[in-house]
Amino acid sequence: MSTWIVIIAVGLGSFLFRFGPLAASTAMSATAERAASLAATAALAGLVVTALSHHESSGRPGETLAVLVAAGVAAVVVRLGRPLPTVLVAGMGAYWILLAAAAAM
Amino acid sequence: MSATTAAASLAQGVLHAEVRRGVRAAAPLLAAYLPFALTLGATIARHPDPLAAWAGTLMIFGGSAHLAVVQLSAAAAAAPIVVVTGLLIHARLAVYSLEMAGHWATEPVRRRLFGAALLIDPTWALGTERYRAPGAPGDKWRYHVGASCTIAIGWLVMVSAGAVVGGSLTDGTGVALAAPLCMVAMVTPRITDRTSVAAAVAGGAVAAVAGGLPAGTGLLAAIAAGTAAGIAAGGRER
Repeated sequence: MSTWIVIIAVGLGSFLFRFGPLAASTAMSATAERAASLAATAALAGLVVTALSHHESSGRPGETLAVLVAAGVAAVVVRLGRPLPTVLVAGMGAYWILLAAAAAM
Repeated sequence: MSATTAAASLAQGVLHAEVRRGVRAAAPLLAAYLPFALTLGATIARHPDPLAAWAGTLMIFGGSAHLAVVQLSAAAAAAPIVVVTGLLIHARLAVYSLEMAGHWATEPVRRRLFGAALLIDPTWALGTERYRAPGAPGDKWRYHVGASCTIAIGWLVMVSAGAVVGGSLTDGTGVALAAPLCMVAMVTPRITDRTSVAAAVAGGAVAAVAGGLPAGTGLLAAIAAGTAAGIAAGGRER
């Protein structure tokens, strides 16, 4: 029973986070919109760093460098205007190539 | 014409082009989240009350918060702690909602309710990207519906599959890196000027330092720092 209560409580609270600002605001000032956009950019950047640092390590040599290079390659491919599947192929490819190179050394 | 062809033609006629665009945009993201979904599903399967834990897949609709709630409740943590932890991790949703409020200000309440229910990192990122591009508001809404429904249905299927087959399929392969790379693909186009660079750099730096803080508070600190840095950079420009 307690698991159900917890799941429902977190679900309801999450929905309030999702809908609250939508319900409260019919129009935002330009300043508030800009601040919200910056907050969103900061949130994404924080998520990237958190996710990369918490990436489950395979324990193989060169893992950290491979992850960072993969992220850099992905960012470059995005800047070149390529679609997401290409970004993922390039990033994961760089990751696996570097890991293989580190293992061969 | 075979029945299959007729059904396909009907479906193609019913589904608006923008809905299909949203579905196509969301599909690679789903693939990237597959390792995480399988891992979450495997964790759910090991929970003492797996049905309740699985119910959070759409009720909570957020992998990191859902995983934290499932793990803490399985470890018999006190209910208030579990709830607060999950909500702290999801506090960033208010930031996403605040940004979408500007795009959905003229939408009817039922659409805002629907959009809110499916608001999470990938649906928000896809949605803001489409709303920032040129186009009619109706088309942008259809795109968002297509993308959000794809993510929601796909997420439910993948987590459920994980509960059945477990997370062992992805162990040691590194494919879990695909999800963070998707985040890189989402944040890079947003970094276009001095203020957004400041916001991204400050947010990332604080997240790196404060990432060890419990219950997602490190991410909240990153959001606050990045916003402040971006506003300050904008002030210095003038």
